[in-house]
Amino acid sequence: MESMTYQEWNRRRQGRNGSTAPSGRKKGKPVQMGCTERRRLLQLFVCTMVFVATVVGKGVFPERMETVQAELRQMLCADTDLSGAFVRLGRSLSRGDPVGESLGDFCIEVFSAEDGIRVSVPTTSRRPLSRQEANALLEQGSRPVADVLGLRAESDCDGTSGNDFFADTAAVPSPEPTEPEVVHVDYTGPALPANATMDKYRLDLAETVSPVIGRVSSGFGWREHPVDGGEKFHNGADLAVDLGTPVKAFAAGTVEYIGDSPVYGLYLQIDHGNGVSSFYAHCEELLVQQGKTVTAGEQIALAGETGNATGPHLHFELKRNGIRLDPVYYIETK
Amino acid sequence: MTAEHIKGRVEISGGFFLLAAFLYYMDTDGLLLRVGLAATVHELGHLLAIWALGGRVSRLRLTCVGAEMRLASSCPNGRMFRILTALAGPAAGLLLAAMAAQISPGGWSLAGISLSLSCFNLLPVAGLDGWRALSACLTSRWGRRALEMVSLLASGGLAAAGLWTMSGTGDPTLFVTGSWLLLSAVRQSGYFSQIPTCVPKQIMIN
Repeated sequence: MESMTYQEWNRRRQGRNGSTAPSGRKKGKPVQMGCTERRRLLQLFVCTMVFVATVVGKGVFPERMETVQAELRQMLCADTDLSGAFVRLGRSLSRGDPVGESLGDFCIEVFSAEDGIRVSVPTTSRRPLSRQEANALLEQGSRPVADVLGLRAESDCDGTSGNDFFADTAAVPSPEPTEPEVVHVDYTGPALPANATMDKYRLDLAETVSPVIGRVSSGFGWREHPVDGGEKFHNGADLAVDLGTPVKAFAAGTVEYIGDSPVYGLYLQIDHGNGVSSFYAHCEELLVQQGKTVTAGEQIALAGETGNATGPHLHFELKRNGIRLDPVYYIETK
Repeated sequence: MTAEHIKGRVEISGGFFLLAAFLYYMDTDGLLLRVGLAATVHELGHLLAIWALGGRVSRLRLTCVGAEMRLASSCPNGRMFRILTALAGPAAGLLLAAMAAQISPGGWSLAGISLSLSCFNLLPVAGLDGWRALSACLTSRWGRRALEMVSLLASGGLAAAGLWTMSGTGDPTLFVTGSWLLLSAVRQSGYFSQIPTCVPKQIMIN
């Protein structure tokens, strides 16, 4: 293969040399032409060598090439969530924000690594789950335990590509009637507030859907608050997703209220009946009005970072008779 | 335009394919497609302006540093022609950004890419559209000198910012881009010109 290619180059070189006569083209002097041709040939040679090296490398040491690719990707995307930065820039344009300001933000984001981290990883739970909790969750066997614990390796530096996932947001099958009404989950952490429980209750809903499929960047329970600092009880789960990812209704129901607050940004609550309601916060845009009847999986909002948030995510809460449940028991996560 | 027309007028370097293949290999978000679309619209802006003002493109080159249009020597070479054709690319990009921003949220990414691409091209650095428009405006000797300085400073600043980013994250892309622009600014300034500059009548449009 290599000798063939070499012959080709040779032929090409001879062909080119033959055509470098001044009559070939009107532009430029003959001396310059020769120079250009030689440069072209060198370029072609380098390109072919790189190409051959890659092809041969991939065939001979596939694992090594995988590592190289991973390292390269790590180096190139580093901590900057480039596609996220582009999306934010475009969104500011659609909102009519001052372009200069958003361009400045964009530059800061691209040029400084620290800001990249801030943006791509919204909030991280500092409180690890206790062993009992982990075991209880393991017993459920509903999803890989690593996902539940939020321990998923953060190797994908290409940013959360949640957009690709809204198409196949699989419906979590509703619990079988044989399931006990409540599964007690051992909890040894600090005392829970009166309106929260770690137990897993049966919801008795016909069909439930994960509002978004994202990484749990901050789980249900006590945590150090990412913005205000200090230990605070987190009433729901934070699911890190791309800005503008469609948010789906957890189950069929009626929109109880919608609103805007400095803390939760744009939020809404849906009443699912049976005393169950779900709450969605930090939305970019709300797509339903109060009183609207929604079906399970219907698009109700776009995920965002409004209110007190350090990055785009959905804050999702689940309540049963006013008691807050750990939403992660009932949804699919990345 | 027939195939005969295109033949010999479009040239694609090996580096272009190599870079495209590499980016396609590394890209996981489908970002490349959107960048490609934004770049195509940008170039189409130039092309349409050239055609509309009675110019003709004799050759289109696609290389690893971008697209390059060579104008036929019969083109109008007036100041207005140069300004308008230089600004048409970024203008098309801004228009695309404004339109894509209306499609929420699917178009935000494209809008952001197109906006940043257009603004980047408006920088007053030798080789970029902003510089091209300015150099057509400034005809006095002092104006040209000032533009050279601005071009050197801006590209130098970009290279320095790229170096800073590289030291922080290890990402060399901005540094390479900045250095490339600095090189072209230095070449253009004539301070260290060993490399013959192009024939005056052939204006290259990035």
